[in-house]
Order: sequence, then structure tokens, then C-alpha cells
Amino acid sequence: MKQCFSYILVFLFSLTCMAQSSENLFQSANSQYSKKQYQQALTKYQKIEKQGAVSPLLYYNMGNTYFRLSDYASAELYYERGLRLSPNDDNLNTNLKVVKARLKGDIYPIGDFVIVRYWYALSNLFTPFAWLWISVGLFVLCCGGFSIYYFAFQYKVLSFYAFLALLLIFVLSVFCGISRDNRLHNHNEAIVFAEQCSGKDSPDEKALDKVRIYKGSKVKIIDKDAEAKEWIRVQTTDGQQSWIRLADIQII
Amino acid sequence: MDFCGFAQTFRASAPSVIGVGEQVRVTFTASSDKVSNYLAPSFGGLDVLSGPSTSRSSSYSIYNGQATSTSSTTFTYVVSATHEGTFTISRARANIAGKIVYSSPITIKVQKNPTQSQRRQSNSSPYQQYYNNQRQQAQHQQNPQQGRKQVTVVDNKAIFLRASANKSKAVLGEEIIITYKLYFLVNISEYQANSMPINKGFWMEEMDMSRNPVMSHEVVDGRSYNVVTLRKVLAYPQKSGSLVIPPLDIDVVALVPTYSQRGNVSTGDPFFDAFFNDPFFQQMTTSMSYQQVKKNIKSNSININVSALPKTTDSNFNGAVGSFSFAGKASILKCKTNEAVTLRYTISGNGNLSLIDNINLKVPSEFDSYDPTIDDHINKTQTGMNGSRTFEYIIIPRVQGEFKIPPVKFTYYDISSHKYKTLTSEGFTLSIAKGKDDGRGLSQWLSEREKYAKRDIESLQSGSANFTTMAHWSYDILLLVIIVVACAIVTAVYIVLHRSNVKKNSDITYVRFKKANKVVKKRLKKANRYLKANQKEAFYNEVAQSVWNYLADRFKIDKMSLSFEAVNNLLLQQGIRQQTVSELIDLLNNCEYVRFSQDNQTDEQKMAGLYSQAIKTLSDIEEQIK
Repeated sequence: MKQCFSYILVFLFSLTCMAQSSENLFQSANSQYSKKQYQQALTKYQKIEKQGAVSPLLYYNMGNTYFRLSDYASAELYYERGLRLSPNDDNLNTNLKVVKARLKGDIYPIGDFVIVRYWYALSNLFTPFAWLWISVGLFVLCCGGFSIYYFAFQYKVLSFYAFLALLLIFVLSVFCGISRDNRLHNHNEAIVFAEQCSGKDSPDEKALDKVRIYKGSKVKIIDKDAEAKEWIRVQTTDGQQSWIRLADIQII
Repeated sequence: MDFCGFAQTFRASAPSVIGVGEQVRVTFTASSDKVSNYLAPSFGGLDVLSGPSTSRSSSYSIYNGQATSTSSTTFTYVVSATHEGTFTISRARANIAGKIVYSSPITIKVQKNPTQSQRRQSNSSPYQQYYNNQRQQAQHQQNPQQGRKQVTVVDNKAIFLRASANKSKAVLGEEIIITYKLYFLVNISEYQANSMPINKGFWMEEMDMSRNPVMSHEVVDGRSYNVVTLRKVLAYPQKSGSLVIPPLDIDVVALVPTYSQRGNVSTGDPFFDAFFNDPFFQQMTTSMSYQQVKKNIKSNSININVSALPKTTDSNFNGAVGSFSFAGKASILKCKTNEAVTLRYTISGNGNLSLIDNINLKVPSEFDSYDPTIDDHINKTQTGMNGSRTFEYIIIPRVQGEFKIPPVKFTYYDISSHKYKTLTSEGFTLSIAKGKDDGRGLSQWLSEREKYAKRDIESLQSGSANFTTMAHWSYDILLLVIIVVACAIVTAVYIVLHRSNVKKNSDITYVRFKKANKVVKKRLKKANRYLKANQKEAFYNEVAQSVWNYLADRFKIDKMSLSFEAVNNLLLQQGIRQQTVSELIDLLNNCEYVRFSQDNQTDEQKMAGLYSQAIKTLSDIEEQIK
């Protein structure tokens, strides 16, 4: 028991330690950025990233650094990574548009279906972690509501409906949380880094060229080549599907 | 077969006076149908246009009981003279019915304009002339080549190529039709153009010629030529000045007849002689071999004076010359945003249609417009280029509202009036309704993209990054399940416990007690204690005291003024039922009675009964107030 406790203590200590050192590194990188030493700042940011520390702000600053280094595709990649964590961040959204406008691969996207858009907007309101506690709170309210309905002499119908509504919201919050979690952890989107690559009909170099995909194009990974693992089937934002090389992309 | 009956005659006939270039017939008539070894005369400078054509006629008549048979053979030539003078046609020779006969020579006088009296035929009846006329015409139509048997030398007169333009003066861009015609007297087996002339300063439109050119006849310098149009070109001068259309150069293979006419066949046997000298047989054996002669010929070149167009400041003029009409049409006048509208502007008429490459259409900026597609219906005919050229613009409205497509002006140089003319198409008013895709349209996306391409990124954020681990960004479904299950269990346990309480509450006394006023319970608490301690006197005293105190407090009256009657009246006034009031009076009476009775035998049961009666009565009062 005592041993177990000490383990936990050590773990927690190391966590705070890591967070502390990451934070320090982050601040020094930021100051280097403001001194226009972008390359050095970038090295530090990358170090933080390797430590496994997660923050939308880190991705935002990395994106900015890449932008200043004129590596627009990488900048786009990091803004997208930041948006994965924090989809409603204004700065990230603005800078993503700025960087996309400078890339050739940006094509007119086919928007999602309206319901899908609303669903994403709803589930993007909170982080998965926040959704978890919202779900818990809602369930507690549900239980209370049920008890009230069960024992009440007056307003029995009203309290029943209230209970049902709470239950529904709880279920919705669970789905929101799971959906958000999925999108956050499912790495099924990528940025094309090759200057220009041709989307093939099938996973074969000799196959027919179907579409031209340019640098900076955001693609959705649909399928992976089973054998060679060299090709992936992607869908561009205009809905076209084709096979391209795995080496040509960077997964968000 | 009476070839001794008449003297055989061979008569030549021709008009004595003819005009220059006039075609006249020269006939040699033999008075028998048995004519062989005909030898043509020399025409002494006259051009033989056709001939000889042979015709035979025979008639049989019975007159006054006497049968007469006449027959004749006529050799006909068509000749003409190229210049004035006197020409002598020499004697023609023929073997008529076995006898060599010569015709007499004829002298023809060629004048510029012979008078009618002079032209009178010297010796031929009007009927015969008519007959010959008819025959000659028929032969001309059927077999025009016959007239060329005479031509054996392929010179510039036998074949030549002539280029002609329908005008020698033109303005810039005016249509000129250039025709290349091949004139020939000899047969032609093939021809081939060596090189197409390079025409500097002209825009050329070749006209489609049919594979098998139609042959026509034309008289040049008094000779009837066969004429084939080889090539027709529409030329549009592109610069002003004196321009030359260079000659066309072709190779022609001519078929030249070689005469291998045999003389009189004399075999010694009169029968065979007669056979071989038969005219039919002779025709078979003569003039049927041809020689192929290749010849390179060139057409003449054409000079054309091109004058510049008068100066114009009209920006709508883009080189159209001719005579045109102009019309515009919109596919639809009412539509939704992002739906395509087609505008068609058609120029039709005669002139350099294919050189008109754009029109002056100004599309409002609210529309996306694309380069026009050109749809041609152009015919190149004998009179030049005519038809229509349509410019089709596809425009896509991006914004809703009413928009005016201004009228389009088309200016051209009118050939017939030598003036610039401006035609105006009608303008259109397009009303654009809001379409489905509005607000997320391509144009908006593009303009937004353009806006973002110009701006810089937002500045760096240097606040605390609040680093976390990825666990902080996950929805831990296991944790949720644990919490949810725990909550559910807690609720279930609570509900079960509560249910057992409710079962207990089904006991009426307990319910009453529970429902009664807290004050009642509190007041009777002491009495309850005495009851349990079995202190009889204290118990009754306490119950009575509690009830009196309750009434005094509850109805805010002085304790001193309380009596049975007062309480009775008061409670009834407050709306308490009679029964409850009498129960209360009973209860108080009981308490008094037991208190003063000194009856020690009163058992515990009685006390408990009184206690519960007190609770019930007070609770009833409490319920009935209000």
C-alpha cells in the first residue's frame, strides 16, 4: 500500500515536472520567435512536442513559426493539429485561412451536409473531457429527477417529462463526447506535402492518372493499401477519390 | 445499188460573207451515201471549231409512176475567223460510189460587220440550212470533242489557265472572289497543282470544289473552249496598296490525237477494196490513237488595288467588312444565382464573317463570364461568304438582384454604301433570385481566399500553454460507465429504502402522527414520556395542559378566558366540524375526570387510548383550520 502510494507520488511529481519544463521551454521559444529567430524557436517547439505535452497554443505557435519560415504546408499541418484540439479557436481558424490562401492545393470544398455541420458545431463546443463531466452531471440530475417523479404526489407527469428530457440530453452529451473524441483521436486526415502528385485510379504507379493534387491539399484517408502499405486512398475536399503515395502526405 | 444512174456530185457550201468571230457552217455534200476516203480540205487560216461531222440522208419517192431514190452524205464543219480578210477553203476529196470526186473551192469574205444581204448563203436551200443547223447543234451537245480533232499541237492556245477576280479595286477586308479556270481544246487526262501561291497581304478562304468539275463551253478569241473551274478562292485583303495575287502553277497531261489515216486500201480485189474503204470501217481505223503530252502552265497574276478604310474612332469596329445584320438573345431572363445564363450574339450576312473574332460585350461584375464559344454556319458560295457567326457567352450570376446587360454595338464597313454602320443588339434585364447555394458559392469562397491571401497571420500567443497529456483530451467511456452505474445504484438503494418507509406509513396512527403539526407532536412529547414512565397523574395533567396551551397559542387567545363554552364557540367559528369539537371536549373532560377521580386502577391501556385520541383530535383540528 505504502509502495503504491509512493509510485503515484513519483508519477504525479514527474508530470508536474514535465509540464514545468515544457512551459519554460515554451516561453523561451516564444521569446526567440519575437526576436525573429524562427529556426531556433521551432527546434524548441519540436522538443516540447516530442515530450508529449499537448496544447492547442503550442500548435498555433508552431504553425506561426512555420509560416514565418515560409513552409506553408507545415504551417497548415500544425494549424490543423491545433484545430483538432480546439476547433472553435478564432486565431487558429484565421491563420489557417491565411496559409491556405497561399497554397495551390486549396480547392473549393464541397460542404458537409447541414445536419452533419450542426452536429460538428455542437460537439465541438466542449473538449471530450468536458463532455465527460457534463454527461456525469446530467446523469446525476437524471437520477434525482427520477426519484422526484417516483415519490412526488403532485406534478408527477411534469416531473416524468423533465426526467425524460434530462435522460435524452444525457444520451446526446454522451454521443457528442464520443464523436468529438473520435474526431480528435482518429488521424484520418492529412496534408499533401508533395509539390504536385497525381491521384491514381488504383494503387499502382502505372495506373491511370485521375486527378492532380497539389501541395497543401487537405485529404481524407479512406483506405490503405493492404499489401505494400505504400499507397493510400484519399478523398480531396471536392469529393474526388484517388490513390496517392503515403510518402506524399503528412497525417494531421 | 444504182451507182451509174446519176453523175456523182460533191458540193461545198458556205456563207460568202461572215463576221469576225462568227461561227459558220461549212458543208460538203456528196450525192450518194457510198462515200469513202474523204479527205478534208485546207481551211486557209480559218479556225475549225468542230467537224467534220458526217450525216447521211436518203429518200425514195414515186412521182408520176416513176420511182426516184436520192441519197446524200454531208460533212459539216463549224469554222470561224479571227481576223478580217478573204479566206479560201480548198477542194475536198472523196470517193463517191467508187469515183474520186473533188468539191469546188469556196471563198469566204470575213468582215467586221457583215450586212444581212451579204450573209446570204450562196448555194443552199433554206430548208437544208435549217436541217443542218439542227443537226449541228445536236452534235455539239452530244459530243463536243469532235470539234477538236483538228488540234494536234498543244500550245498556249490549246490549253491555258486563266485567273480572274471579280473586282480589281477593293477596300481593306472586302471580299474578292478569285477564279482559276482551265481552258482547253484537247482532251485532258489529269492535272495537278504544283504549288499553291503564297498570297501576301490576303486572308484566303479556299472554296470547296466538287471532285468532278462540270465542264462548260466558252468562246475565247473565236474558239469554243472547254472550260473547267479548277479553283475558287475568297480573298480578303489585309493591307492596303497594290497587291498582286501570284499565278497558279499546274501540270496538265493532255491527250493529243495522232492522225494515222490510211490512204485508199487497194487490195486488187474489188470486193475487199469496197469493204475496207467503207466509211464506217474507215472511221474505226482512223484518229483513235492519242498521245499523252505533259505541260506546265501558269495562270496570269492579278493586280488588285486595295485602298485603306476611312478612319474611324469607333472602338466597336474590329475589321468586319460586308453587309451584316446583328441580333442578341438571352437564354433566360429570370434565374437563380449560380445558374448559367447563355447570351448569344449572331452576326449574319455577307462578308468576312470568319475574320470577326470578338464582339464588345461588357458583362457586369456580378457575373462570372467566360470566353465565348463561336458557332459558325458559314457557306462559301459563288457570291462569296455568307451565313452567320454566333458568339455564345456563358455568364453565371453570383449575386441576386436585377442586372442590366448593356446592348452590344457591332460596327462594320458597309461595302455597298461605303460607310461605317453600327448595329445595336437589344439589352437584357436579368432578374436573379437567390439560389440554393447562395452564401457558400464559389465566388464568395474565391473572394474570401483572395482577401486572406493578402493579409498576414495573427500574432503569436505568449500566454501559458497549459500543457496537458492526451488523457485530458479524451472522453473516458469507462469512467463514465463507472460513475453512471454508481449513481444508478445509489438512486436504486434510496428508492428501495424509501419504499419501506412508505409501507410503515400505511399505519393510520403513524400517518396521522406524521402528518400532524410539529407543534402537536412537540407538545405531546412530554405526555408520551410520562405515558412510558407510567406516571398517571403527570400524564393526564400534561395532556390537558398541552391541549389548553395548543388552543391558546393556535387561536391567539388569553389562557385565562378559556372555558369549555368559549372553546366550543371559537372552534365552530373557525370552521371546525362539530364532531371534532365534541371529541376535543370529551378529551378534556376525560382528562379532568381521571385527574380528580383518584382511581388508581386506571390501566395503561386507557392512557395510551387517551394519548392517541389527543393526537388524532389535535391533528384533525390542524387539518381543518384554513
